[in-house]
Amino acid sequence: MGQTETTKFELDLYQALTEQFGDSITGQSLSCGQSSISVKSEAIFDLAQFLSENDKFGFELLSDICGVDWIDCPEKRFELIYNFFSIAHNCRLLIRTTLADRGDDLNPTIRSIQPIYSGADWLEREVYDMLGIEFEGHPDLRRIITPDGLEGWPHRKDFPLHYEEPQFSHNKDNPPEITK
Amino acid sequence: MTSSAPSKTMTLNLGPQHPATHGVLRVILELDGETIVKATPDLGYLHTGIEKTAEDKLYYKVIPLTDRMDYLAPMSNNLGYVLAVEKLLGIEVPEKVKWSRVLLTEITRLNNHLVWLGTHALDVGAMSMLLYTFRERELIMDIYESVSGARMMSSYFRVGGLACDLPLDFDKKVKNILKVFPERMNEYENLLTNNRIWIKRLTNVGRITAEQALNMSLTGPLLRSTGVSYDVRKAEPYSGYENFDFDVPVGKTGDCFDRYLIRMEEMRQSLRIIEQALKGMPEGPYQADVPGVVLPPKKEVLTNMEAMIFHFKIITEGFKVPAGSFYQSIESPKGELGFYMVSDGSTKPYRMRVRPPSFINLQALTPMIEGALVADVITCIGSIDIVLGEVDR
Amino acid sequence: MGIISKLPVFTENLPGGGLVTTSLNQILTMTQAKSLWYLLFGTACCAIELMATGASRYDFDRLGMIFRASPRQSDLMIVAGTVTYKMAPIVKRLYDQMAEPRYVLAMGGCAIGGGPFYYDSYSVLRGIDKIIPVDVYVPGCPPRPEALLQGCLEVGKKLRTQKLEDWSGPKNESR
Repeated sequence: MGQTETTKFELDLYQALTEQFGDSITGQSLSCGQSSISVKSEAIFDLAQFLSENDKFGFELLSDICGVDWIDCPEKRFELIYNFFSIAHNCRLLIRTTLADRGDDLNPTIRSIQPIYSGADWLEREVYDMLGIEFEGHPDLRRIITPDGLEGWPHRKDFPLHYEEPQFSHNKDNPPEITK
Repeated sequence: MTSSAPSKTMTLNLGPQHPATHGVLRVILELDGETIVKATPDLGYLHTGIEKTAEDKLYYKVIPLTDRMDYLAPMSNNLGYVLAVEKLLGIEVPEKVKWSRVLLTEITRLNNHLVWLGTHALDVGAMSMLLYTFRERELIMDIYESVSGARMMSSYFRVGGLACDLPLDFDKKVKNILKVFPERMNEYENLLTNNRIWIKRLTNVGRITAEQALNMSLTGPLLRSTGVSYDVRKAEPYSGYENFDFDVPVGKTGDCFDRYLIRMEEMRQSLRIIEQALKGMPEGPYQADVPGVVLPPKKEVLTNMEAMIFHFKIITEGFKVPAGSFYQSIESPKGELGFYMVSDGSTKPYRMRVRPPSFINLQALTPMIEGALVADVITCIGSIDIVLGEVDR
Repeated sequence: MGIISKLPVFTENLPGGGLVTTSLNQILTMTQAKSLWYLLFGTACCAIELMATGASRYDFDRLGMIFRASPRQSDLMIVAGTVTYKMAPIVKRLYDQMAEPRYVLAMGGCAIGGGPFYYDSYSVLRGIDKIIPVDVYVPGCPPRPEALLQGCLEVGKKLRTQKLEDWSGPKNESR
């Protein structure tokens, strides 16, 4: 589970991953008893393929893809957390990867894992919609839930929360700015 | 007309204002006669931006927002959130809190499945089911009201415990549910399970295989109907679920009728858990003893200066959560509900990611209905059991 | 003849029956207030409370309120739940499709003014009265069914004050 003590299965898994992707793995971290592996963003497709096709460590379920914006460090601004779960071995595996900020005009890109896990379809579309990370090889990368014609990427930390000040008579002539 | 004439398809727009889409879902259907060639769901008509809003709220102020995601199972959402924050804070809650949380989330599961059953049957054509299930739902609403004061949006679970102690007549009300429900469940089954129209409309409709379901990341009754026994309550027990004895029903065929049977059985299993929780409910405090995070009791606040300062500080400034991240998943009535909380050490969440079961389960709609008839769309949407508040957040 | 006795009517007995004289305005508003058909249009949480109000314990039907799925057949639009910027044009279109005289009931905090999403949300419309005229506001998050019933009775009260001229659309744009 990664939440209590490390099981033998997990040790085997980490060993296999280190053998297979030794150069791409940049670290292993532990937060509140939940361990996760950091990899380079180029390796994510091969890693997903390994996890899905390997008979010994079959991770059938891609639970989630979560994107976090660390605005203070541009080299590692966008962090993606891939959340895999193995039902047979009852094991959760968090894979972290980071993407650099490429300015406002160029969106960061990463390879899509939709061909391996079709459940990644909407998850990747949501990450694209919210953070503006482009997934190469995704068949239908459109915005999914934000209002039509929205500009910008809502979950980026520099996106303002539109805040409408109540319009009372005392500030009617001098309305407040509509930024956060 | 010759056979070589090119076949023309028609585009049909379903929703967002359609009584059977359970909210504001829009599906663009391409039809060849009665058969669906292509289906494209269009989401976002209820996108309120809760994940972003949470980043600007103190930790305890996020709890009411989580209610408003899956409004049929508010307590489950509360539970997922408070468990994740408690894990980051390293708080261990008293036994009584765990047991009452389990009891109340199982009551929530009953609530969700009752509304699902009523609306699903209404969509398929069994109009009177809605009246029966909502009659029983009122009993559950009474319990919600007595514990939290609100009928739907309870916000009853707090970080480190409950909002207040369980009310005095709580036992009586839960016992009433335990008494009434089995009989009423038989009533529903009499109306539906052997009903020929119901069987015809549901069997072999919306079939998915286990491989498909796993590949599409489906969870909850949708996955279990294909024969995969995955339930977070068993796989990664939380809040003391390992102390309870219950079964996880699984299906065989993965069609809408299997999902109906599974949810009915889940309701019976929930009743079993409620019974055990009520019987074994330990005595003790309803909050963990963590000054600075948990509000002191009201009596203390009014008589003790120190308690009053704590109360004031928690309400105005909030509490700091150590930096870190944690993914907490629970079994909500719709599937695996996950909260991935990232904290940077301040009093507000740096990022709150919700893994919404309805959103991910809704991906199954397209493969389910492509090649099927128009009437099956409504059956499939009902059978997936979505709540648009959670799909769009 | 309960309704008739309350109306300002003039009854004339004729051989073989009777003749009732009343104002057309009175009889029309009275009957409409007793059969308010509402548009089943739930967007979010309040829709569940709306359903609960229509179901067993609270029983909307006893007020003569029956849901219609089509805006063209309904007199009252109960906007139950959050309206987002993406949803707003559709709410407006549904309102436009309703026949005069039409009434709008804003149910819950979100429909009234954004509710819990008033602050810090980038996609929620702060109150439907920015796009359509609202007759009755029912506060709550979500309102209790009793509150909704009271709101509908208020719509009925307002309806009785309407004039026959109101039945034709273009004149009352300012309403």
